[in-house]
Amino acid sequence: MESHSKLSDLIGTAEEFDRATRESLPELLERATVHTKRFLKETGQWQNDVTHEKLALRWGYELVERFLVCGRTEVPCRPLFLLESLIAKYYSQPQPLCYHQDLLSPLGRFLDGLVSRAVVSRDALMALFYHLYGLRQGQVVRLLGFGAAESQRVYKNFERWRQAGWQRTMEEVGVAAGDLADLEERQRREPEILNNEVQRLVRILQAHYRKSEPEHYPCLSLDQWRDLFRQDYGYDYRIWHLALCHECFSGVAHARSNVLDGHGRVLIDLQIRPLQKGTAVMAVLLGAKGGKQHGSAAERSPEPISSTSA
Amino acid sequence: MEAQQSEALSQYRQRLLESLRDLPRRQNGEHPARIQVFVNQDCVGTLDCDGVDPLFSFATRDRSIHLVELRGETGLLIGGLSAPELGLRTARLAWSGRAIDVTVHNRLEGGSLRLAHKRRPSVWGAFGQAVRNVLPLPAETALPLVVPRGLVLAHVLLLAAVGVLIVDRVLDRPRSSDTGPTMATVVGREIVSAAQTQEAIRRLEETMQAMLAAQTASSQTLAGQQKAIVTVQRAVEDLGRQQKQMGNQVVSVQQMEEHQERIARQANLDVERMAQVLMGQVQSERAQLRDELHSLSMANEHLAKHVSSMEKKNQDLVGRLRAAGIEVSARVKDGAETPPTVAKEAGSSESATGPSQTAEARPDASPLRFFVSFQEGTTEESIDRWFQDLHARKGDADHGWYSVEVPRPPQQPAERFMEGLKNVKIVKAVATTRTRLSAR
Repeated sequence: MESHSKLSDLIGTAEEFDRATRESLPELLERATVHTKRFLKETGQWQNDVTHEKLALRWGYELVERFLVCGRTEVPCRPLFLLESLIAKYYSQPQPLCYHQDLLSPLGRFLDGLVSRAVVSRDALMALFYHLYGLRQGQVVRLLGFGAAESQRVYKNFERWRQAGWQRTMEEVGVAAGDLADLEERQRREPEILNNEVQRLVRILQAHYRKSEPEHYPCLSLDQWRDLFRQDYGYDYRIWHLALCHECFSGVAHARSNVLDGHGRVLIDLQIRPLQKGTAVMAVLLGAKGGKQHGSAAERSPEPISSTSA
Repeated sequence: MEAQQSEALSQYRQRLLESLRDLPRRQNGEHPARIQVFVNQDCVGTLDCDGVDPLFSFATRDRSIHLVELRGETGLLIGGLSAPELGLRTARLAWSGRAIDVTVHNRLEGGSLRLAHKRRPSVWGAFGQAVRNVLPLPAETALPLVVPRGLVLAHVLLLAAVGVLIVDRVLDRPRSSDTGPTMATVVGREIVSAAQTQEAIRRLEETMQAMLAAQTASSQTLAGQQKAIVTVQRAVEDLGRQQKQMGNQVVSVQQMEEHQERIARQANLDVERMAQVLMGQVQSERAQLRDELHSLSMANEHLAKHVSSMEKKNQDLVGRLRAAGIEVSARVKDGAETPPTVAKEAGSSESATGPSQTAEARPDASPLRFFVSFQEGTTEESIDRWFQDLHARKGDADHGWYSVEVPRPPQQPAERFMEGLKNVKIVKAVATTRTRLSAR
C-alpha cells in the first residue's frame, strides 16, 4: 500500500525513479500482467489456465522492462500513471503480440522465445539457423555468401548465446527444464512429427515477427536473390530476412546448393539446445567415423569449429 | 496437479522479478560496439559506436516517431525514449559510462531521429576534470568535454618541481650530520645552507613565476580556444540550420516540380481530349456533309429524271395540241357552227411553254382567298398599306385573322405565293381556311 502511494506520487529525478521502481517491482509486474489479461479477455484470447497466465506474465514483464528503461527520461512523472499510459499505448497498436492457441504449448513457447529474441538480438538471429535447420557457422556463412570479415562480424559474440543468451531466453518465455526434457524425449521418439509441427508454428511466428524487420527488406523473387548474391551486397538483408523467412531461405538454399556439397534442400531440423564446443568436436569425430551428426539438412562434412561457431 | 502448476507459475514470476532486479547490472555490463536502433518497435538500423563519427539519423515520412529503443547485440534494452506526437524531444541516455544524445523531432509530415554517441572520457580528460574540480576555472571557460591540457601540464610541472626541492632538502640533511661539527664549520655550513636555501627559494620563486606565467598563458590560450570552439559551434549550428533550410527548399522545389509536372500532364490530357472532341466534331460534320451531298446528288438525279419526263409529256401534249388544232381546223372547214374562240384558245394554248403553265393558268381565273394574321403592334395603316401593295381586298377580321382576297393572283402556285407572304416583316402567319379553323 505504501509503495502504491509512492508510485502515485510525483517523482522528480531519475535516481528517485530508480529507487521507487526498484522497491515496487512486484506491484508493477502485477499491474502490467493484469492489464495484459484484460487485453486478452477483451480480444477474446483468454482462457483460465496456467499457459495463459504465463503468457500474461511474460508480456507484463516485457512492458515493465520497457517502463523501467524509458521512464527514467520521463521524469518528473507519476510512475504508476506513466506505466498505465505506456501499456495503453502498447496495446492500442494493431496486433501487439503474437497470439495463437498452438503457441501456448511448451514447443510453441520455445519457438516463440527463439524468434522473438531473434528480432532484437544478433546472436539469437544467427542462432536461428542452427535451432531451426541444424546449420552450423561454416554452412551458414557459405549459404549467405559471407567472407571471413563478415563472418567474424556476425559470429563475433556468438559464445554469449551459448553461455547465457539461450538460457535467459528460455527463462523469460517460461520454458522450464521439465518442458525441455519433454521436448527432447518427444524429439527422440517422433522427430518427423515434431519437425512438421515446428514448420507449421515457425510460419505463424515468422509472419508476425518479420513485421519488425526494416521496411525495405521485403521477400524477393529467386532472380532478385541471385542478383543480390551476384552483385555482393545486402549482407544485413540476407541475415535478417533469410533467418525470418522460411520460404525465401529454402529458395536461396536450393539455388546455392553448390556451396553445400550439393545438398540444396534445407529442411526443418529442430535443435533444442545450443551446440556446445565439446558436442561439436564429438560430432565431428563421430561424423568422421560415420556416426550421426546434428542436423539432417545439408551439413555432413566435418568442418573446423572455431571458438565462435554455433 | 493444480498446486504444481501454481508453484510453477509462482517460480516463473520470481524468475521474471529477479531478471527485472538484475536489469541495471546487466545494462552496466553491456558494452556493445553496435547499438541496434528500434523506432516504434521496428528495427531501423545500427549505431556503430566504434566509428569515426558515431552518429545515426533516421526519418519517417508518413508516421511520427513515438518510441525509440536502443538495444545491445544481445537484445538487452539499454535505453528508451517516448516522444510526443508533434514537437521536439531531446534526452541523454547514459549507461555504463557511455552516453547517447537522442533528438526526436515529430512534424505533421513525419518524424526524424538523430543519435549521437559520446565517447568515454580519456585518461587526460578524466585527470583534467579532476584538476578542474579542485581548481575551478573562470565561469566563461568552464565548458564541458574540453580538456585543458596546458593547464594540467603546468600544474604537473609545478608539483614535480616542489617534489624535487623537498627531496633535495631531505637528502641534504643526513649528509650534513655525517662529521662532527665545529662552530666554524657549523656557522659556515649554516651560512652556506642559508645561502643555498635562499638560492633554492629564489629558484623556486623563479620557477613559480615561470609556472604562473605559463599558467596565465595557457589560461589565455584556453580561453581563446574555447572562444574558437564557441564560434565553431555557432557556425556548425548555423550550418545545420542552413542545411535544414536547404533540405526544406529542396523538398519544396521538388513539390513545385511535381506540381508543375502534374499541371503539364493535365494540360496535355485536356488538349488531347479537346483535340479528340474537335476531330470527332469535324468527322461528324464531314460525314453529314457527305450525306447531304449524296442526298443532293440523289435529288438532282431525281429532278433530272422528272424534267426529262415532263419534257416528254410536254412534247406529247404539243403533239396532241397540233392534232387537236388540225382536227379543229378540219371541223371549221367542215362546218360553220363551230365558234371561232375555240381556235383562238387552241392557238393561245399552243403558244404556252408547257403543261405546268397550263395547269397554273387555271387559278388565274378565280381570285385567291386566304387568311393572314399580323405581328402584334402592327398598325392599321401598315396593314392597309400591305393590302394596297398586294392589290388585295381586305375582309373581316376575326381574332386577329384577316380574310384576304386577291382578285388577280400572280403567275405562280398559290403555295409559293403564300410562302412568299410569310416573309413579309409584319405578317405573323398565313393560313388557308381549313388550317385557320384547325388552328382555332
